[in-house]
Amino acid sequence: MTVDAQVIGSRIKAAREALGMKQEELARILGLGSRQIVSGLERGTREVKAAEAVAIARALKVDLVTLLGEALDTPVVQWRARPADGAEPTESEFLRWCERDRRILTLLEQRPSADRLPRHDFDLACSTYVDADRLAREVAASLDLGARPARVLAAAISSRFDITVWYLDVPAGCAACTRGSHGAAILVPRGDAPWRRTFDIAHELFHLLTWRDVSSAPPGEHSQPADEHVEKLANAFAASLLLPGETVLDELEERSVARRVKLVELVAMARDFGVSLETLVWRLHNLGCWPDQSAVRELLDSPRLRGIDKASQQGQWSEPARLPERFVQSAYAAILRGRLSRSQLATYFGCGLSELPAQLAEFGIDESLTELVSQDVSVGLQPGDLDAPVTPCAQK
Amino acid sequence: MPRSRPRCLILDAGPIIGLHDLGIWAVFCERFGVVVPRIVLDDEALFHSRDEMTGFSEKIALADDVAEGRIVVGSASLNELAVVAATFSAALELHDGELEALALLTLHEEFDEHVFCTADGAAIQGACLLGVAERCEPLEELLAAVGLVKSLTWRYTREFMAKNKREGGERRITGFGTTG
Repeated sequence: MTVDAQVIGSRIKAAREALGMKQEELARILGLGSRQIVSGLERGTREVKAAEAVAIARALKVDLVTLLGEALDTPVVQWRARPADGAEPTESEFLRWCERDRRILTLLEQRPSADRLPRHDFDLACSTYVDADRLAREVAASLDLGARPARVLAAAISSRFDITVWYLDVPAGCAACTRGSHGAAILVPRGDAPWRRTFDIAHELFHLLTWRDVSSAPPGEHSQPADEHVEKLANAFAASLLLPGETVLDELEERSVARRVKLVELVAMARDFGVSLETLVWRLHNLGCWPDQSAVRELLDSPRLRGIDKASQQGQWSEPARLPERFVQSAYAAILRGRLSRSQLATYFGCGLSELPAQLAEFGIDESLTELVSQDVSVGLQPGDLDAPVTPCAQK
Repeated sequence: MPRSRPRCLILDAGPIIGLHDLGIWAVFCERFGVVVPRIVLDDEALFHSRDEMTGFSEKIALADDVAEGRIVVGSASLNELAVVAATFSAALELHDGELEALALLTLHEEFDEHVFCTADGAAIQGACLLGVAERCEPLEELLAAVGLVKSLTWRYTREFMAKNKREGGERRITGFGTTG
């Protein structure tokens, strides 16, 4: 079999355009003399060495195997807010991880699937906050999220809905989601506060559950931010999901004395539920506490409350793992079955081959122990060894 | 008496790192004709390691070995990589450098006499699917052949190689993992 240079050239061109990159820029990154060389690559008139192709793939934020493999549908990405300096590089990075996830599952003979994610017939244009709240209750019940949903949400949507959450280095607030042939995934800014990340996940879950098929949209219009009304519904859904009404009101009552709650208790409650103070206070407002919106704003602007909130964040800030637990476990399963190379997984981790055991150890994988098991060390038994009469031990 | 021609090998990143860890890389290169795929050579990230004593990150640099002729660099074309990758279909995913090693092994006449030394189960199984299992040798075997007996981790042993050859052979027979 040979690969049509023109086909690969067209994939290079598509990957470059998806990044919004000009031929001149690619030529500069690759250290090529002129734009014409890139043009020759894309037209398939210039022979490419494998090592050059690797450099091209890296510059274009795709894996070489993607350039070599069959062309797949362009997945749709829905942004909450696009990065100010252009969404294309981040989107390519996000989709590359989704594609890697799909490939790993394929290696394990599992089909990446968005089928386990229920699709709700939700008329987004006509829906209200009450509808979003109802959906949140249904989802919380089906996922069995309990009284503190933030603590289990990411794991629950991964195991029950097959949604992979990727924490990437993108600007704050630039969360996104995608649903398609590669499955369903959520992109969360890695550097955000833990409570912000959890809210992002809940918010994007709403978009995935009410996903509209826009694959028939014209090229270039696939990846769009949702409209303002839908964003408000997603926020309402997220607040309801993370702060179940009855539970939150019961907790507030527990923490109140004579119908007054100390500011420090309010902040402690936000941390306990794994949400921001703003999310908690506005949720309480929507549940009937402090019905006056200006009073809520005044409360949130209170320097004293801000100070307590800031102090409470000390020691609560944690970074998410570099890669999703499920992805790493699946990749390691593929390694054990001889279907994925360790060097490739090291590349995914962005680490050296020697550092891979330490990276895996962070996910509870002990390579040395696994190797012992793989060696199948056994002791030979002689005929009759298992026929010895069983007699009780003589006890003194 | 003329010296016999040294055996020639294509190495991927695993054995290169292992030989450096054992401190016998230079000796090894004297005893064998070593070929390193261009992509493996260029992927500096793979050769980073963190020194356990100092905590500093170090890396293995092979540029001097190339410049002074101690190792040879092998380069495949993109088309050759595509041919090898297509053989595996969607059932095997290798590092690009391992794909290049297998392309050199199977598609380049100048490397017809070379054997492939790898410590990666998927790469060994890839060689099996390409029908060149007999040209894979474990580091343990190669070191023993030149009297460099060392205690090696599991991935460099004959047993590891045999296990993956067996599994790769089964996959080749059952047809799983090839495009047919």
